[in-house]
Amino acid sequence: MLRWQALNPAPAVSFESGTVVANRGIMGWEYNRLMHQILRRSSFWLVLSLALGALAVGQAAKNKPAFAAGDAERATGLAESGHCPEALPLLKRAIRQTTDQNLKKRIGLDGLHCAMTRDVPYESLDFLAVLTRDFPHDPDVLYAATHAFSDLSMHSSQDLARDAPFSFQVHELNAEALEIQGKWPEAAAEYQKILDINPMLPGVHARLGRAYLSKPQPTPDDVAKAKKAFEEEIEIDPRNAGAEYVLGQLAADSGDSTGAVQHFTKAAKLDSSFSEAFLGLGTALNSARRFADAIPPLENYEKMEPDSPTGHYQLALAYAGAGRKADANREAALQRQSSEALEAVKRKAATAQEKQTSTESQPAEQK
Amino acid sequence: MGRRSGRGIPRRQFLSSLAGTLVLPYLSNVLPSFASAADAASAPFSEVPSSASGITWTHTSGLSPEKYLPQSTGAGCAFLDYDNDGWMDIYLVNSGKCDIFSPTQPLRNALYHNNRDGTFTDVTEKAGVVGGGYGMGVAVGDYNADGFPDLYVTQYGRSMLYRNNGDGTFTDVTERAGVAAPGWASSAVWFDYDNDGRLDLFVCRFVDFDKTKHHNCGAPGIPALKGLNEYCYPRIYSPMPSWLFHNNGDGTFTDVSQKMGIAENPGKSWGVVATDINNDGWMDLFVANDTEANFLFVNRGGKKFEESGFTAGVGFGEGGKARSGMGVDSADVNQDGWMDLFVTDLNHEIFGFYQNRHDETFDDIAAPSGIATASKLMSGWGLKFFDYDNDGDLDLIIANGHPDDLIEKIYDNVTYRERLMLFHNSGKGLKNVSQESGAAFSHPISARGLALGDFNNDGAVDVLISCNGEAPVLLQNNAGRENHWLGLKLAGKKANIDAVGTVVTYQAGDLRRSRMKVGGGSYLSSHDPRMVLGVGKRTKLDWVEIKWPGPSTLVQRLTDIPVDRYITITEGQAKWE
Repeated sequence: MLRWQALNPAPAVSFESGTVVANRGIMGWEYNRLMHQILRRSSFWLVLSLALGALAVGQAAKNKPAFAAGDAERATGLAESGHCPEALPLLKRAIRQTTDQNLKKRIGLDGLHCAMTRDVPYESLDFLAVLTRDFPHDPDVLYAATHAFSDLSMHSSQDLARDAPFSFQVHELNAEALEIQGKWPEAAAEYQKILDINPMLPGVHARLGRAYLSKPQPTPDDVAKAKKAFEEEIEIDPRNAGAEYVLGQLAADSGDSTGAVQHFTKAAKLDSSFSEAFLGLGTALNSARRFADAIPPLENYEKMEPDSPTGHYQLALAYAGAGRKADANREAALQRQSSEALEAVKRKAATAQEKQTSTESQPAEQK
Repeated sequence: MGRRSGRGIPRRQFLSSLAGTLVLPYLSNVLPSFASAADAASAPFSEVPSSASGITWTHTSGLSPEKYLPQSTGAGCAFLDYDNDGWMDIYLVNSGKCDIFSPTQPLRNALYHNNRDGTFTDVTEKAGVVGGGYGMGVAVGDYNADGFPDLYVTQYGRSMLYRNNGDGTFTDVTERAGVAAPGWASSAVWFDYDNDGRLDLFVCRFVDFDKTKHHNCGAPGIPALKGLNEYCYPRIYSPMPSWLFHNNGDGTFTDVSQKMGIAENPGKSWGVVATDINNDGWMDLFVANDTEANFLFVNRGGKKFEESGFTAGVGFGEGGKARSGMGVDSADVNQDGWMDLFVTDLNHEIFGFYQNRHDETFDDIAAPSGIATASKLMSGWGLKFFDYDNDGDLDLIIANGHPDDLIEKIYDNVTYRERLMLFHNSGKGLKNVSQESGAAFSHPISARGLALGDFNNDGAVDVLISCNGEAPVLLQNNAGRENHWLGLKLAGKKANIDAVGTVVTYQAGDLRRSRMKVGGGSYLSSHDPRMVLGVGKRTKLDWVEIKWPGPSTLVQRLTDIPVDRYITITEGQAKWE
């Protein structure tokens, strides 16, 4: 079946913004703003305040900042007592000047807090830059950054809806959010709106096709529409290896091994690191009983994905079909080994799951 | 034959003629039910309610909070003519007392006698086939060739062989026969692997399991399932080898699993079908494995089985990963003279449909045939190829249902109870016609076993489905009567009496078709031993050719054959009865 991971980009919007925007649509963004305000002032800031509180208590006695200590302490004091308008300019200066790492972290987190509560999220960028550079593995920082970036994402989407409500980007953002929620027909409708505005926009036909095919049970009509969309994508962007790959898979799924070979070949030529394209090509050639031809792309795939049972399996079939029995046996053994390795991982996960279930099932007093 | 009782077009014409007439207001109250009756009659299958059939028995799964694996997997069913009166009776398998289950009241299997009027009578106690453990499946075969079908009931724990006494009763001869097959047995099949004319027995074995080996599995990542046990994926349990028993011809069997190369292949086996994939006249076995590669045991001259699933391309899906194989079947779907294979799997795995390449290898054509799309979210168990509309082409029916009763808390699009699926073969390929096939295909059930049999002898092959923890479903075929057909009961003399492995070829005008009588198929279930040959609207058969399996390998050609009735053909006898 279709290997979507080969085509799917990372979601362009954060989960939170995607959810809210998509739940109500762009038209409902006043509602979103309200929800956003409520959310922003609830769990995240409660947790952040607790974290800051703990940090303050733990570090206050020890911190003896050497430079601008008074200003920095005053700024954090203002921020933590709710005087963000006064605190924010001071915090922005202090974070650049402070050398004490603990104090810097505290200033950064306070700055994030104030930027968000004052509804000036773009002012959080300075704090985020310092925090993520100087504390890249700190859980407090990572947690706060997650929410800050989410807020920024939300804010940007709201700005987009407000400043360019009729732009294709509004539909694109909405479509992506709908995709994240698995609302494929609605997402397809949004992508179609983009194409109505700008039919030559690269990437959108492919996304439309993806939306058609991502339904749990695409109908033959969905598949036909998707095929057309990917073909249109290639007309606009002949170097789109992902679109060629999907067309290859669609051809293979319909039993058209010649078409599959053509599209997979193009995909592999366009992107020589596209391992799935080589696998698709080898598999299609095997299906066409062109075993000798299937060997090079499958060997290529095996080099890129040495732990894939699928690659070993198809290569074993190709070797066997080409009369290379010893090579086929070797690949069959590798297929078994890699499958067993995967099974071992799954078994380990299942055993861990079993232990967790047993723990959860025990009465509280036994835990 | 054929009960064309004013259905179809005349009734539709009548209904349409009502539109816009003065009588319509008077009929407004009765029209909906009248219309739905018309729909039901025009659907290819209609469900026979228990109030009409008299089948009131219900399966008990013994579902428990511990989620012992056997509880989600049974049970099977069978059509058989135990009293040789020419009418198909029904056998249903139940769970029962064992180390993982203590029912509050005794449970039993059920044998229903066909009253020849669409109703059945429970004769289980009188026949002495109540079972006696945690039942799984049933395989019907006349192992002692006395003309009366015997019952092999597979169980979790120890299986049972019931010899048919020929007087409406059975005797448990398991110990004497030596076929108890201790452990967790699933499907079984009677077939003659060495062409000595006697039916041998293959018994699938699932994992190494008993109460002491049970694992508590769960889904900690799913908040709704927090603290609850879930059925374990079978990968957590060890595979076990299946059994092959050779029929000694004296009422006893010899375990030849080791000698024949079966025992060296431990699996987690559910379904089995005996077929001949390379047309060499020796019956092969296709076995579905759960989380392990499927087996294709290729019979090398009755001397050894060679496991060739991998090289044949039927062990795995295209991705080279083992799936959750459940039910299997084999038929020459595309009429190229070579037997194809089918296996059902769990949701998101896609069922496997393997087309024979004539060289002991297969192509998985699940995607181009439309099976992949249709089965993406389904968990299949029993299935069977058959020509439900008697147009001469083999169609396909599949019974579905997820094994996990809590699956809806895990997946949005997957349900515990699932709909049956029906695929019609137009001669150019299979088309999913489930949605237009009436209520029987829109009603979700927890199906497991599936058996074919013409219980009303109208030439339209009916379907029996056994469900986990629910009443069985009996579907009456309304479509097959629309075409002409010939029913064959084949009786081997030198060949095995059940004629498993026989190839029947027939010609009716421009239609030539070929069918092999496979052994078993589906899941935990057994079928009407008769073959029904559909000829469409053609009113006569030109000839029927019977190629009997070894040891005789006799080829008989019969002419002047009637249509729309059942006949018996005995090996070597020129006349049919």
